[in-house]
Amino acid sequence: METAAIAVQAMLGMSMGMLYWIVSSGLTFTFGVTRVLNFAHGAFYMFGAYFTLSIFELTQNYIVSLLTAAAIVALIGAVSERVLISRIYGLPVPFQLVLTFGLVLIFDDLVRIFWGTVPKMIPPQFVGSFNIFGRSLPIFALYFIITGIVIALVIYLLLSKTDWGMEIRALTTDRETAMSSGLNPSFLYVTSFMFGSFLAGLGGGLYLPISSASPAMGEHIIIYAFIVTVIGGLGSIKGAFISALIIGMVESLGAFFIPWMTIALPYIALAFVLILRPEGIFGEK
Amino acid sequence: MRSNIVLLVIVALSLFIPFTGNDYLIYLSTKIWILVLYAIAFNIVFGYSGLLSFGHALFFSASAYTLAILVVKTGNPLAVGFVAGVAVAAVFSAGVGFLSLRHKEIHFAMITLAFSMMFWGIVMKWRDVTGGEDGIVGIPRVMPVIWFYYFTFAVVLICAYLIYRFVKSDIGLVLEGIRENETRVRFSGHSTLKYRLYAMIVSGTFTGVSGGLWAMLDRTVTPSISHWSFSAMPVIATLIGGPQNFIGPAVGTVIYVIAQDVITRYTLYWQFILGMVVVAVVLFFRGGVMGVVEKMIRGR
Amino acid sequence: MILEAKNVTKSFAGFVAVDNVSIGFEQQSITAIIGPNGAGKTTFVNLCTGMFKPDFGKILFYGIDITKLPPEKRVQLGISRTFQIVNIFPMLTVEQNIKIPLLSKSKKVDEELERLIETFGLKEKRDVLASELSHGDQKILEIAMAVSMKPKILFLDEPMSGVNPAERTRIIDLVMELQEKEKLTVIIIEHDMDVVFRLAERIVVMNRGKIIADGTPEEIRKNEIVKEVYLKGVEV
Repeated sequence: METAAIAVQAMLGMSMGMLYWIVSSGLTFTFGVTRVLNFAHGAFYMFGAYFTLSIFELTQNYIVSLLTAAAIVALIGAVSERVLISRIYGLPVPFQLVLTFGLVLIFDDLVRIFWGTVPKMIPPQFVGSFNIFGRSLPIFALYFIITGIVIALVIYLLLSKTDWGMEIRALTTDRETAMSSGLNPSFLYVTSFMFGSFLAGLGGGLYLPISSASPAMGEHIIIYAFIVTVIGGLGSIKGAFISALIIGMVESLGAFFIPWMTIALPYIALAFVLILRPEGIFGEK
Repeated sequence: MRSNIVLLVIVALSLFIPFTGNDYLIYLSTKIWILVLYAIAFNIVFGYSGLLSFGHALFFSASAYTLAILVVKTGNPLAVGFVAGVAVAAVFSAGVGFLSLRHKEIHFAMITLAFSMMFWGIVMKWRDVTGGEDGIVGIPRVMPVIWFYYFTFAVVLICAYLIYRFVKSDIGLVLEGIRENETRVRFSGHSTLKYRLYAMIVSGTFTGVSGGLWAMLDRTVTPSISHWSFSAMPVIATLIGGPQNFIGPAVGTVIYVIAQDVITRYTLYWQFILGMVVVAVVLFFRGGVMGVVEKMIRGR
Repeated sequence: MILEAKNVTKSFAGFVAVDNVSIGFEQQSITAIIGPNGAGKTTFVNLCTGMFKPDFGKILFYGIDITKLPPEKRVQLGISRTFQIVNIFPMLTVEQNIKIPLLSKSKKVDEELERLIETFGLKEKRDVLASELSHGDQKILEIAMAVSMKPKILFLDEPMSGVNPAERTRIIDLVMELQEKEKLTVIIIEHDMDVVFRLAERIVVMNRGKIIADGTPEEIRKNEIVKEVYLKGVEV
């Protein structure tokens, strides 16, 4: 049945959208707090996949590998922030962008040095599929969706119920007042960078079982993160969530109806938003 | 005065390159001139109106691919392909400019990157037209290698001169004002969007020229010239050379290309080294090579 | 009336900077806006000149609604200003600084550039980088830039701040000359009461986002509320 096929396709789209959401939320976090756009966020995603891979080779336990890898990436994020990013806070935006781009170059090659250039895989996890109206929906799609929702809840709770979260919100929405009210910016910068990087690493590790770890995966995902962020509105978590899902579904349904155009769809969506509502769905003018 | 002498020396030396008889050197030098134009054209948007574009590979490769497609696939003469390529680059730069220039720097960088990678994706997938991963080969040799070196050299010099006149013109002055103090320019009655768009189109057009030259030199076009790493090339070259100086991008390009050529003979991991250089320049040498040189001159 | 603000309100993050202000200015008048720091004077000027859009209210220029117009369009219409903190192009020369605004409105750029440099006494300094000028000269440069666009109404935001007495006189004379010759409407924010009472035909007093007094210098001098809020301890 056509509708069943479309429904499944939409759910697949939503699951990929959740992956984009997880990665973009991390980017939104680090940008919202530090005001630095971290190009290397995609590299953190890549590290997440590779560390998950290596730890899996030792432990054969996917979940443990996934979470440990994400934690390691969080640490890398912390170190990057303290050692490098913190030095560029006062600089004009172009220099900030170029520095994080330099990090991408370094990280990409580090991956090549330690893991080689050939993409690597782990055995599929959460195999099997659901039967929906005669069509099958892979279980991993559901697990992406669930993880995505859990992350959304976690972020919501963190931002609204914890002191840390409230300080983050203060810093993101009204920087000047927040700065003069005695909170410790360095601590917030490091921790938000860690949290954002954790999310990126988590995304990479989640992606690993359905694809592979390759040195090009960072640059692939960062484009999506950028598109999602611009459409959603830079610095808006809500925007990132909604636009990630939109992009996921546009891609997926597009592949179903107009497969020859799939590659251009996210960009067309971007162009669309840029013309109609340049500041993004939830952005400020 | 001093810089004019230096320029003359460089030009004189460059004229002698083909006399070395070293084919590889001639090839590399031709390539350097093409990339110098690319970087100088890029710097119109970056150094002169203060916006960082991560998508210039789009204009470069759109021009190169247009030439390749028109010449190899549909049998048009080279001149037609070249002009068409430059026109396509101009149109693309107007389009991307229109979509992206209303935005703050960060958005601008992301948007230009996104559209550039969109083109890369299309080029990679559309095998029938673009040859996919393999690209298009077989662009005919337009003239002997040595002639082509001088031809490229002349074209680049003329274009550089035209760009120089542009940045020193009244439009260029307003652009400099925009870079210095955008608010002030708006309160001086100018639409900063309009000026930035001029800059973008001029920049994209000359980038297209360098793309066409590249296609004629290599006689092949591959997706690598539309990848973001190719967009990053003029960014890094300009940074190394010094963005506030007209010949900064040129200096940086020469250093970049020669360094890459040398370093890749000894290691696969040229990107790693480049990344370290970029980080170092941003942290410690933001004026680039020309910045250091200017300090030394003033220090006397 | 050349400029009119109707029920204009502007808040920043909960703080009301301009509170339901309604006021009109007649052509060719010289008005001074005075008041303590944070009274909303600069914000008001920002609203008139297009730096911000008001949360409520309208701004009318010769009866045309300009509330939504961006600054560059207002300049083209004839509204010009200087800034509280000198706002010029530091790394460009004096000549280049004046040229940029000229380019937006003038047909005979070179001719007018010469005239302006002459009028403002900047001839010897034309090739000096703006950042290397004395503070007073920078203020004068800014006024030159504002005037270069042949405005009909000129906002001066604390043109005397940080300027030494000799240069002050020069600026006052310049402003008065200009106002007469070019038939300008001038609105000036100032703390220097000497200057205010010398220049202004009308004084508007603001406090906490509202206008608390509006009248001739004599009326203001005698106004009890104003004395209480602002002129206390200030020599007039």
